[in-house]
Amino acid sequence: MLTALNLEEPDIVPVAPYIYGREYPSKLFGLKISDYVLGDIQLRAKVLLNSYRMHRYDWVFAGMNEPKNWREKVRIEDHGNHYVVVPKRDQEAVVPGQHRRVGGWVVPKDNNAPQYVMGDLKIEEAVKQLSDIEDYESILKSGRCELIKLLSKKVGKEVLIAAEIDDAFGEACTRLGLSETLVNLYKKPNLMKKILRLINTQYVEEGKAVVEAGVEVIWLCTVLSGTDIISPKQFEEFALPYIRSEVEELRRLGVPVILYFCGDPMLILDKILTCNAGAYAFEENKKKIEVDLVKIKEAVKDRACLFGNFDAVHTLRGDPRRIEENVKEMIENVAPSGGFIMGTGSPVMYDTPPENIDAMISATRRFGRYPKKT
Amino acid sequence: MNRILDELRDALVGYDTEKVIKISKEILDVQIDPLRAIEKLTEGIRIVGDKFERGEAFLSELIITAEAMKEAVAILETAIPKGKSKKYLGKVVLGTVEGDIHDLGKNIVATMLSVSGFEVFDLGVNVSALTFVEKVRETKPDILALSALVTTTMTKMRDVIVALEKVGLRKKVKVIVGGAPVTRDWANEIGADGYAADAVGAVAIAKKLLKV
Repeated sequence: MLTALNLEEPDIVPVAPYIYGREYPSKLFGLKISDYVLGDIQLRAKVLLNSYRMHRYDWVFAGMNEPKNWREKVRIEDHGNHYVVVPKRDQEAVVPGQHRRVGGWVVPKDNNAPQYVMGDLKIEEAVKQLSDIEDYESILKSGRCELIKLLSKKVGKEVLIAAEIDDAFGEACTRLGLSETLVNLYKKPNLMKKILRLINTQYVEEGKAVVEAGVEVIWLCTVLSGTDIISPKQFEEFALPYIRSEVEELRRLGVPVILYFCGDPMLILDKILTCNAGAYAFEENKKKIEVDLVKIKEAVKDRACLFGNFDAVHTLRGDPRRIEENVKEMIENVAPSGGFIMGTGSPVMYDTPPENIDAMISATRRFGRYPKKT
Repeated sequence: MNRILDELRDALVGYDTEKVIKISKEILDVQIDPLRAIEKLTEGIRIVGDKFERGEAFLSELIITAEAMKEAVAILETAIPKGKSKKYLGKVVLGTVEGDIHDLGKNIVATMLSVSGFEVFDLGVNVSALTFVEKVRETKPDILALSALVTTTMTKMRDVIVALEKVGLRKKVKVIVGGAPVTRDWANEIGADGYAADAVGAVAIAKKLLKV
């Protein structure tokens, strides 16, 4: 992994699927998603390690967890076929298994993924709430990095431990609601920028905390700032500066930063690539969004490592023969000369067959041997 | 008079919310027919919708246009004389299906339908098939619009259509579907009357189905 992240040719293309414990690893472990989401840290570590040990991919994607006292801050309501986790009055909504702060959280008892309720904070309230920055020492003390510490202790010597940190624009949308955020880009741009700066400050503290806890690579997840949502001009004004500064601050912690861009990147690709990340990863193609990985590879050149955006939504849940074909094609197109890691465009879904993940990994190992001719 | 109406439309097309509101108030001051102003705003939103379809405008621009129009219409409607009420193109009931609490796309579709001249009844999120049926029975809409963002919940769209069939309401309402995982093939499979990939498409298919 580190060889590829350093833009060199490893002996073989590494495989690092975007994988949340609550999804595929929970199914593999025989759990419902709600069992994982409402379960404790020991259970989550077992779930993640079980999946890693079965498939032997090249990282363990650990997440931050909720604070030790999270249950005191929320009310968990049983609604028959689902639980609703809502913040108590005047408490921040704490999402189990996630670190985004949202308006509430719905955890179905069947195997549907949890869904968060976007916040409906007014912009002024959000500024007030965000002004109370939690520094990295407090984050560590709160227990939110215990899962990372546990995984680092158990397998940190044999495999890379990764953690996700989010971006300011996506978080602003989560706190305010998408429409409220977009409207305020026009109506209260200065206040929006203040919010974005505050979120950045908070996320850098979270970055410090996860690195201190044992994370060796940060997956910076940016959402809702593609041109399927905002204009290129708005991206340059409200997203790019904050992503760029977040990358810069996180890189100062001495770990590689992978910038994952969720949304349509093609019209703003040259701008995204100015963020100076160690690696870039993109969502797979979806309705009305075509992510041209070959074009991206040409644009990235030797500047950074590139993750494959293997289609986790359709192909990875489909025919294993098609998986092999797609892996082969992706490797032939973008792996030569190194700096390539086979990843997935979205988190590996709950109902993905284990043999399909094996097919992706074994095809990568088979077709991804270096040296390759360019 | 035409100049101020054109300015209103141009402000909307230029995403200038403050100017749209200011001109709307001026229009009331100079006693121009508010219905003519609303027509101009509709022209403006159509221009932005067309730009969106051509990839020349973005979702944020579509939303700010729709929001500005909503605010302006609220101002203008206060001056519509009784008996000269706004005419709707048709009535739409919409909501996100049961088990799904996503409302982004649904809200944008509701706003676009509303500002395009439809009377909209938004049932919100996590709406059961029974609630949809009851609302259809109560309001007798021309169109029922169903939204889902999750692959596992879009199957509930079929349940709504089946429920409408069971109570004999299916032929009385056109059903359109949309949302991230929804495709034209899925719409055909479950027997929906229409499918749209985005909010502008939803307005277009609604107009097409009602021939307006």
